[in-house]
Amino acid sequence: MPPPSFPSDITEDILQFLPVKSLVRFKLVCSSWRSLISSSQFRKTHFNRAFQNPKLSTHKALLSTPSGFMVLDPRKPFGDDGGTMVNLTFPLEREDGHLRIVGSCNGLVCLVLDGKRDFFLWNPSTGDCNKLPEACTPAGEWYVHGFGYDSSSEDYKVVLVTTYVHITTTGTGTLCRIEAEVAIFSLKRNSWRIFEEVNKVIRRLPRWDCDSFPESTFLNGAIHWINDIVGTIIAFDLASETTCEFQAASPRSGFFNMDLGVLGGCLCLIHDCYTDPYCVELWVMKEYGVETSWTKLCNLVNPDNALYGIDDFAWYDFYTTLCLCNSEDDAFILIRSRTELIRFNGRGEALEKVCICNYSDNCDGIAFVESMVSANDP
Amino acid sequence: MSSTTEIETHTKTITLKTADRKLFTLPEPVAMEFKTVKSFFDDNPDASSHTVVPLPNVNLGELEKISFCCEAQLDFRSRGESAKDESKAQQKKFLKQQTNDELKSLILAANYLDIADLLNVLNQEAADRIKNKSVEYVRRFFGIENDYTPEEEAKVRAENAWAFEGVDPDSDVDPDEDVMMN
Repeated sequence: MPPPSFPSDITEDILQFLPVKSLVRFKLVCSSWRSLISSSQFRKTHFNRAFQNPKLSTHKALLSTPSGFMVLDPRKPFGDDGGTMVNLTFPLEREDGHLRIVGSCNGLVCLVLDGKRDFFLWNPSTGDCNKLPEACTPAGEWYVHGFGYDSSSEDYKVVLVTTYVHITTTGTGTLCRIEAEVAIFSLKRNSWRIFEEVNKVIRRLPRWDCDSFPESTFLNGAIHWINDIVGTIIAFDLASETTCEFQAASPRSGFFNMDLGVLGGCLCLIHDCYTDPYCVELWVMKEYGVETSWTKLCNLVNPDNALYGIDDFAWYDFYTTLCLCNSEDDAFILIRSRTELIRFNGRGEALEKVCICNYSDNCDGIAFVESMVSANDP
Repeated sequence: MSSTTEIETHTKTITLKTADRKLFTLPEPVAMEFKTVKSFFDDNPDASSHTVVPLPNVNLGELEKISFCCEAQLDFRSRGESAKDESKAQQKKFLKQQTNDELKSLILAANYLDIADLLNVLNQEAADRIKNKSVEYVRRFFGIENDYTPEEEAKVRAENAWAFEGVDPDSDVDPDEDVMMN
């Protein structure tokens, strides 16, 4: 007896129960399955279901090095030379240069060509990729950018803050004026617009020098940047388009190399302290926006000490956050000096380490969730 | 003929006539879980519980299994929260015993009888059975012909190479005969 064939709505219902990896593979079953799985309605329904059940979602990390992209499954050990990491090819044609990671949200990663304003949205799980139209503000001296989801309008947004330096020569000398302009991109409208209210808080965004890449963190509907000179966090809420500023961890002098991330659904901060003894601390803001809720999670034990018995922290070390591996044992992965991945346990002890790019290269990394969200049509 | 009328509702039964011309009698509350049956009585106000309901799209085998599942679920539901784990375990045990072909027949039957909860459970089971399988396995399971050219197929595989790793190897067993072993 031939196998009974299903009506299409049953097939669709079964497919909705599948994880992202299976759906990507089953596009190959036949062309009508490919159309169904790629359809806007299917993707939306699948994402909404997954959003209601976060425990069923798979979290990965995307690493961007000048020689290409890799995907890491944080639940797996790194393996020799990072053998468990998977190389991924960026699907679109683009100019040469390092694609830097701006942010990630709902499975979409926003990237920008280093030093330029060419933005891309990419879903590394499905391969969906979209080059955004050119920003409506002119090129400037420094850029600060962020990416996130505005749930009030069901729209993905990119924020670009450009700093301009105007130098005028007068009779007595030169005058240097610094200005900032903000442009916001809406994926729904597929266009940029100028954001007029460039207020005092926005002007306090860090003005990075050309070697440093300003990272942003999306959480609770807002994009966050850290000003590590002053030790504050600036948050831009995407729905209300308002800014606010709050203290980063405990106010103390001697902070350097701060980075912001998300661990266990909370803002987390890593910074080193040139106190005596030198140390690197990991803090978590247990209650969002409540400055008094900053709690120290642990001091990092020098990984070289734990792994190789070397005692001194190298002065050039700095850490950027990557992801939480496993909520059961509080392990987390950090990127050190943009060249190595190190997995730590909840007590800050290094468990394993792998080198992912040369010292002179720059590696960005970000956690993302496997999802069916489209990079073209939200 | 007995002069007693069916006073106690739990003894009230409904009789169904299947596609293979068999008659199947089941308690009324269970039969009413089948929206198709309920609609029959809603649309035919003159029908009594003695009226045989024609179900030309389901065979006796599937009907018996589905009736068994629904009756068990009704029973667990009446016992409240405490029976939840037992209910899940019983369902799991039942599903494990079905071959792929049997599962597919149950899905079609549950769809025809319009039993939303059961259909969801059966569809989830089908998804769990195929999620780590190869593309070829899934084509056989659904009876689908491959309409990709070899070039197109190679392209899709290359673009999404990661999704093709760690897939269960296809055994020699015909997927129609497969039964979950664990």
